[in-house]
Amino acid sequence: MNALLELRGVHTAYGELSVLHGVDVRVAPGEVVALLGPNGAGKTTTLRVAAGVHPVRSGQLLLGGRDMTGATPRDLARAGVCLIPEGRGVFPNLSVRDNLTMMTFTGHSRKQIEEIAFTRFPILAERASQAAGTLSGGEQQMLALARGLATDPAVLLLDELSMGLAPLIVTRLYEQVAEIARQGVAVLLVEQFAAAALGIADHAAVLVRGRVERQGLPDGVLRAELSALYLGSSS
Amino acid sequence: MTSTETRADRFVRELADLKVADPATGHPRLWQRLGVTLMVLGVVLGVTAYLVSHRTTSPLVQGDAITIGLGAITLGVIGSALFIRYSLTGFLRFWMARQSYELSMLAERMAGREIYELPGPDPAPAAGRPPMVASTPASTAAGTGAGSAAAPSRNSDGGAAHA
Ligand SMILES: Nc1ncnc2c1ncn2[C@@H]1O[C@H](COP(=O)(O)OP(=O)(O)OP(=O)(O)O)[C@@H](O)[C@H]1O
Ligand SMILES: [Mg+2]
Repeated sequence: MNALLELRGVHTAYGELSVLHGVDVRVAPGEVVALLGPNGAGKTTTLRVAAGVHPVRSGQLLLGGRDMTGATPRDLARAGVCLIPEGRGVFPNLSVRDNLTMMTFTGHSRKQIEEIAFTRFPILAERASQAAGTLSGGEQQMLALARGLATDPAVLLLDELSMGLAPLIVTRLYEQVAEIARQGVAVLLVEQFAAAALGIADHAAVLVRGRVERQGLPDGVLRAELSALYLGSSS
Repeated sequence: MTSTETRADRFVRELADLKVADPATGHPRLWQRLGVTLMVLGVVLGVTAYLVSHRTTSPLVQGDAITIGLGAITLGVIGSALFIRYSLTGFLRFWMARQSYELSMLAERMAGREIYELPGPDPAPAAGRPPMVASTPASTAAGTGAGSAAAPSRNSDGGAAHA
């Protein structure tokens, strides 16, 4: 299957600071690719590049085989690239329902969006009138995911979904992500702590200091390498 | 969200239809500057036209000055249109979104549907809609009875989690 999202030799920088030094990533429809690596490796930056939020210095961003380098985030979002950023991507002062209602800009009706969201995450229906900031961390991530799904994404970019959540909740969230991928969405997810992510990933890449040090199947070797990376030599 | 093929294929098709603006030409910043330049040029030309017409008694030259003056107005108008288009739209978009959202809220309230509000830091307006209206039958709010059937569980739910 052709890749829906592909980064080819992407170099990018924040001002003078070079962050990515030739990153290659491919994600096919229905595939989950996990991008792992320590703090400051450039994982978030990679996602920002894929969403068109951060410009590339050199290299290419291909979507559906077409070179989309330089396209605006807005164009990419319209086409179906959805980035769920690090932290809780919700409006804390708005209710769950209002958070979802805001997604009607995508052209879907409020009813459709709520149906998608509440079917996948029934707990959100119970919390519909609660301010999003008072939800538990896991529920907030569910809401963020639901908001993402409301855009009917073809490519889903997830940044540290697990941040600050209990392992059980993370596992459940990732089950949902796997389910989303099964519907043909290309998922690129970023994680520091790999276990849960590797559980659903079809493919994994380890990013260290802006370079993909290793990629392959999320097998034992990669796991061993990761633990060495975090516990051993790095930093 | 139908089958695998459909969404991916639609994605590819939509991308094909998408005109990727050349990042250089698509820059609102550039257009904005052009707008400002044109406005300034309009003023300068206007003054020039005035000076030209002032220094002569020849009606022919004065006619030229009038033409220059009209051109200056045109440039000024185009310049301000460009400027507004590329500077204010971002702001206005949010403003309009806010307006339309508030309008729809208002419409819902008038239709008598329940709007749930959390007991937040800001005190709820006393007369309008008490936050716990659904669970207190003695509520004074007018016209909120209709849609509140499903409310109690939600409200108590939210309240419990909040407390
Ligand atoms: N806005 C910015 N301005 C300048 N430097 C930045 C900016 N954002 C990130 N960086 C730098 O780029 C590098 C990569 O950052 P990035 O956020 O991509 O890392 P990360 O892999 O997502 O890390 P983490 O696991 O901590 O989220 C870091 O060294 C960081 O300091
Ligand atoms: Mg990050």
